[in-house]
Amino acid sequence: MKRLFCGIILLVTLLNFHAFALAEEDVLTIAVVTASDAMNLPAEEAFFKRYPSAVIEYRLYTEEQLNTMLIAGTPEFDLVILPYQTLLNMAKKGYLAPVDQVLEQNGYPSQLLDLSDLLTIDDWVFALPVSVAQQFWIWNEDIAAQIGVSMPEADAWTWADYAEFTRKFPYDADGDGKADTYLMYGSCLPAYPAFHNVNLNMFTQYAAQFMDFDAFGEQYLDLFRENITGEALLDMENDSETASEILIQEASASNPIDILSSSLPDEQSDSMSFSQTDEQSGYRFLTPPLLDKNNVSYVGSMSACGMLKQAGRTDLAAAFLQGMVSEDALDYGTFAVSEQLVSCEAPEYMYFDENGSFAPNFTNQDNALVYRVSAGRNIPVISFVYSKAAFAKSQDFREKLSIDTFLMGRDFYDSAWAYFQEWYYGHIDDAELIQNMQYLFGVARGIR
Amino acid sequence: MKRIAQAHGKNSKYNALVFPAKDMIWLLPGVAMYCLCYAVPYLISFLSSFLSNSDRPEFAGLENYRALFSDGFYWLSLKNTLLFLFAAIGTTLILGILIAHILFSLRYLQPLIVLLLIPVFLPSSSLAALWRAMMGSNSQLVWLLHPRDASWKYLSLFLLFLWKNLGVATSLMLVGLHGIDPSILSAGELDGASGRQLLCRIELPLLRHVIMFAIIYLLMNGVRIFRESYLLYGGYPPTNLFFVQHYINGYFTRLDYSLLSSAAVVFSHVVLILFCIIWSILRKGDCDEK
Repeated sequence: MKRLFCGIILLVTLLNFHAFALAEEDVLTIAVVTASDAMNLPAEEAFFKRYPSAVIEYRLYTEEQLNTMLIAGTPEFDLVILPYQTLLNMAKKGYLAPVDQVLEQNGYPSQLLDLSDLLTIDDWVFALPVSVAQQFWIWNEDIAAQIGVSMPEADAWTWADYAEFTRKFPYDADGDGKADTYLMYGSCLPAYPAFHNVNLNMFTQYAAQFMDFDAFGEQYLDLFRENITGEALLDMENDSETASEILIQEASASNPIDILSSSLPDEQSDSMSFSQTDEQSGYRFLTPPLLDKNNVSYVGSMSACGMLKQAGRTDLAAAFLQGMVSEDALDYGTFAVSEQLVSCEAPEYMYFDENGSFAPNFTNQDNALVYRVSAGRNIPVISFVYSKAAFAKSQDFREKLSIDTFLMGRDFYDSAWAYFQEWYYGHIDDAELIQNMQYLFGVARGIR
Repeated sequence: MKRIAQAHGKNSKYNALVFPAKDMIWLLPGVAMYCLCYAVPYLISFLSSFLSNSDRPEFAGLENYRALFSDGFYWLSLKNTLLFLFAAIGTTLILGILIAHILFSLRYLQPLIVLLLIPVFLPSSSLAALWRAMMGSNSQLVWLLHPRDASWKYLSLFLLFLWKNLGVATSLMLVGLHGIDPSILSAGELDGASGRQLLCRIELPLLRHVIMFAIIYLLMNGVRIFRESYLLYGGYPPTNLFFVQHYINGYFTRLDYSLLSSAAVVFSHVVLILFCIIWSILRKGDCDEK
């Protein structure tokens, strides 16, 4: 009996010791809502240089879980990497700590892409950018030459100019009497059969820049009607049958030069070059049209990293944020999974995760989806050469990022497009459309 | 309790409830659970509605209520919720009574009530998926009819409510009809009452308690229709389907717990008032009977 008793005491002591040892482990917890936000190789490696024995634990939550934890005052994380709009909301409600104080510098870090207007509230920086993606257009120089049109001036052409441009399309390039060249692809939304030649992003361009939809209606509804109901856009469903050409392609990426000048390296090559300019490739980078020439901004999305006021491990969180703006991190990009490129200067090296070996793999632990990263990974690195001019051009474009104050989810688009379809069919008039859009925007933004 | 029993005489039903004060202690676990699960959360929400919305809340007086009542979207959501409840509950009850009446007359069809009850056992997500396939914007019906979107979506949710709750409403009514003494109906028939008179003058007054119970059940399910609405149309339903829960959910997404709490407190009182009205109608009916 005595032996059994001693054994139990020993076991309990060992278990306690084990639990104590676990508690003592240096764990930085980062909350994310999309798995891809847990891929931050440059910042992670910079962090591990300072804390080689620490572990970074990404926890994948739904936004509802995250909100519940914050409202209940029981967040189980130190940092959050989230869509910009969610983070802005958290900052406004006082859940985030000023990041510039943690970085021991005044104001927004000069090493990063200048998005200070977006990431600053009342002179304090609430988050650092992690990745930026923007919609941009690609101009096909060969088709333009065939038709005899010249590329609109960047940062200067408006949707009114665009409407003017659409009147030249569709165009019969080969002279066989059939139209074969269109301006752009339409969105071809299966749920909205009336809109097979409509470009969805035209709407987002407008919506994101208008706080008040009434003003939009007054100034631009007629123009928008012309743009969406014209024949200049190619119905995607018909494309396979007609083999038509389009002058402008729409794209969204973290950096326009990836699309315009990328070429995969030779199999045996240990370096990669993005040195080709867009003029050389035959495809040229075109800024989307503006509503107002005096307000040059382009719609896109951003994820950013903020630190919780209630962070348990502020030391580790600060080290991660410092890692994000360190030369160690900014000299590296990550290729193959996501290329973040939020530094002012082009990175000289790339973590080349060709097989996706370092992509986040979340597993269920204690009823939470967890992905743990620790030091000692051997990540292949390749040197990298960017065309300086192209990089500067795309970064200049990215600094004109415009983001709406609320996250436009699928349900928002569905509702907006349902109203537009009603309007298109004539079920509702202009006034009703504007009223319904006011309702959608009002619901999305709230009263405070 | 003793006093109540004395007032009602020896044979009162309240005699069964009389027990010594010392036995009241056995009620404590129940009372504690009630407090823990209902009273305390409600109290927390109620108190939160008077606080400012930040990580360090301060007393804000009636500021949240002022903001709430000046918000047109809250009034819109309240109006939509009440209209939907009245329309959906009313229709379900009328159809329930009619179907129960038919089944009561044609007794061999009564086992078919099981078919009407099937939707009750289906999870909301399956119901929503099924409904989306049948009446969603990609469905054949929509492609064929090109209906007005907002009206179609309203009709769609309305029918979903009906489909889900008609079985229970019919079952309750059928049970109620079975509970009516057949001799009363026979006496009515002998006195020359028509079928309509029998229904309106005898059956419906006698079904009063069952109808009230059905209303309360449907009211609870009506308030919860937000779940299906959210699964079908997300956080941005058509204007006429924007319910109070959409409003509350919006402020949850925006982390505005104070405004969320005030909206919930006001809505809970509206539902409470509805229950009180139903209860008073029931009591009035009982008094009239006496």
